[in-house]
Amino acid sequence: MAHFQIKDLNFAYPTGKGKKSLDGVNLSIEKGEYIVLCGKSGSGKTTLLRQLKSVLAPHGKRSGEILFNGTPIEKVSQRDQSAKIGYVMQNPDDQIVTDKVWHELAFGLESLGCDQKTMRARVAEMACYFGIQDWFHRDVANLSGGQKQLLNLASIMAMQPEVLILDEPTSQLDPIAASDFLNTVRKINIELGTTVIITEHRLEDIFPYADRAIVMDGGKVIANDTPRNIGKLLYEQKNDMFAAMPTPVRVFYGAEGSGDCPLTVREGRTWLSKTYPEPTISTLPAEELDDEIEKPALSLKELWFRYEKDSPDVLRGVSAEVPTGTLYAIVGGNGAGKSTTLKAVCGICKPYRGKVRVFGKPVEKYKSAELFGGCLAMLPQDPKSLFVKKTVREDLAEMTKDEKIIAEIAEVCEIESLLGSHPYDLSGGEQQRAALAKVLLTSPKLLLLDEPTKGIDSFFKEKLAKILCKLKEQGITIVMVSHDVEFCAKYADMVSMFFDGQMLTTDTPRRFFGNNSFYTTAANRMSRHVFSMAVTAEDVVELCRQNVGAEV
Amino acid sequence: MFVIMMLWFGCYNKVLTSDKFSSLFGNLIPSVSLLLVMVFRMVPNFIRKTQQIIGARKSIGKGISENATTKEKLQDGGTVLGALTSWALEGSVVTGDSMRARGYGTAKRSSFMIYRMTGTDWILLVVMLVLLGVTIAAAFFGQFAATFVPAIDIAPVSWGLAAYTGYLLIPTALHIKEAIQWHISRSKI
Repeated sequence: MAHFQIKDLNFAYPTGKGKKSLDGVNLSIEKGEYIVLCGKSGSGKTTLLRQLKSVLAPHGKRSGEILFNGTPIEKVSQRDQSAKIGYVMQNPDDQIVTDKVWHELAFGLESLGCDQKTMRARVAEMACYFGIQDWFHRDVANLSGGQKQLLNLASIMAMQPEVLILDEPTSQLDPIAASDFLNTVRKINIELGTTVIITEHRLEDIFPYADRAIVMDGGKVIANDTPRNIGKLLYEQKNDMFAAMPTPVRVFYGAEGSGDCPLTVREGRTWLSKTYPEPTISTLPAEELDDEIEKPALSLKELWFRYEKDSPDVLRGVSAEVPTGTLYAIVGGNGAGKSTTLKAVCGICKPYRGKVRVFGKPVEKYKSAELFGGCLAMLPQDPKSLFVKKTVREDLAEMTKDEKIIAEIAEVCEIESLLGSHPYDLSGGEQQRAALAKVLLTSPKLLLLDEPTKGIDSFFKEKLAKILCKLKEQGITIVMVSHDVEFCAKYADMVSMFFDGQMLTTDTPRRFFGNNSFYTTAANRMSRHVFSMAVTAEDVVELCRQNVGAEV
Repeated sequence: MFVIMMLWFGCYNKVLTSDKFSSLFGNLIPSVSLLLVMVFRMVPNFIRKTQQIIGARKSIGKGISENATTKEKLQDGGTVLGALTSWALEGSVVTGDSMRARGYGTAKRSSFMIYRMTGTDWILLVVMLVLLGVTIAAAFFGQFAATFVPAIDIAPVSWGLAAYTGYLLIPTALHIKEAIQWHISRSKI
């Protein structure tokens, strides 16, 4: 008997004007399966997942049937549903109810009215399994995002659910914390046999290990097969979703490879060395590098900063020069001080030593109206912190009264159709673009972006990249802080590595990632033994093509 | 007087953390103690978010400028407060979902006790109650008079005062006992 059986499920939101958010979904999910649900934002993934747990199901018109262990889901008692179906949401912070780690772990069990003995045993068990014992007594507020999300998972696992549903659980985490989290989910699936249904943007980490991948588009299930077949299917259909596939898959089909499609970097390496044992052309030209920067848009000299008098230094002598009209990316680990550097440029943090010059002029010499009105602007990590009004249009109107300029910027950021909506009703990618529009209304010449690709899917990333390219053409200098090495490799002009409060190396993307062996893109890790300087999937495909051409 | 009150609250905050509070009252009034725990969590969250919003607004030139009038400052504060409210509402929807998803309200709540009462704890409780009882009785019989503000003025030492002093010295005694015990056990090694 299937664990979940979904028959002919249709769903429409009351505000959807008759548009179906789920359209004839038929699925069967077996016990112990690991299922990846993918699709663009707004394709109905979250709507579908929420239907699988009655208390979370949104209001709207529904038809069709969902059977959980053979019983219609409405007939399964709330109590059973809470205990047996675990649901982890996107935002790590808002899901947490209490203020102590141990209390949060026990929350579900308290709700079910378990007795002390059972609770003690289960909480202890979970704390050990998830490695929480070291921070068991800590305040929730002092945990990192990754720890918070792990705590959410653990407190749900304490109720010993049969199914674990995860809705983009890692979208707010940095890559290291995200892959830790996903590994834990995989461990739960393998060791405990818990059924896992997960949606994710970061397919690279989970796609190879999933039993089945389900692709949704416009509320319909358009593909439901093993990951290997899904890659092929999407390529043949020329589906937009293909861009979200892991690098090895994209390289394989991009280079029109034959045989079994590689899913992991390891398989990709094997396939490349088999196909191109002795490539005639093995390197791409590295970008030209100007040593002399004549007029830097931004120059930082020996910045030192600490948050409190007795706390350790966060910035320990940051120096950098950003050439005018480039996209400059700063990569590096969590808590290294990348975001703090941007804050120091904006004057939110005041460095106690060192100099920030914007267009050659020390930043403290600017009046704040002059600096932020047409010179410098920053897009913060959480775009929500920029929205203060009821609609996107009102929010934009806060910046300027000129309707024409608003319309222009809205067009650049492709948010014309969203102007009437409440900013909080938008998806992550849409919010990001609306916030960018608001920032652009100050018509900055130097734009600072803090993690612009966080939590957005591959289509929105491409859209964002296009917008950034457009801005660059207009002569705007962009400084971006990011964890997303793939994005930086593809679109940045210069990449800097930030470590231990300092800017360590700066180089062009190909030289930078081409010389790194760990901190680099999947494409580079996959191809570095045959090709050099190939850092994006497109680079590798290009080299493969050239080699095929050379042989003929 | 005011300073003393502040000191009291400061001590209260240090000693009786929210988890101790909830484990004391969790069994009697589970929902109220949960509510309090949630409120405790909200306050620092709010402060952090406010700073974030102000920072974000400053970096697009919407911060309070150096020569803003009081009216402008008030307006700006209102805008930030509005943004904060919608943010909090949005967050509370998710928190509510997360609570219901974990079975909140499906059964009578029980309460996880992180602290346990052992034999010595019971003895200590009895000692405390006895001393407290004696103190109250003394106050009742007028055996006990002392003023502390503005100057310390203690009437002749009575049995009531002795009991009260004993009661107040319990934590000190516990600390000294611990220190001696630790010293002894270390010197044995």
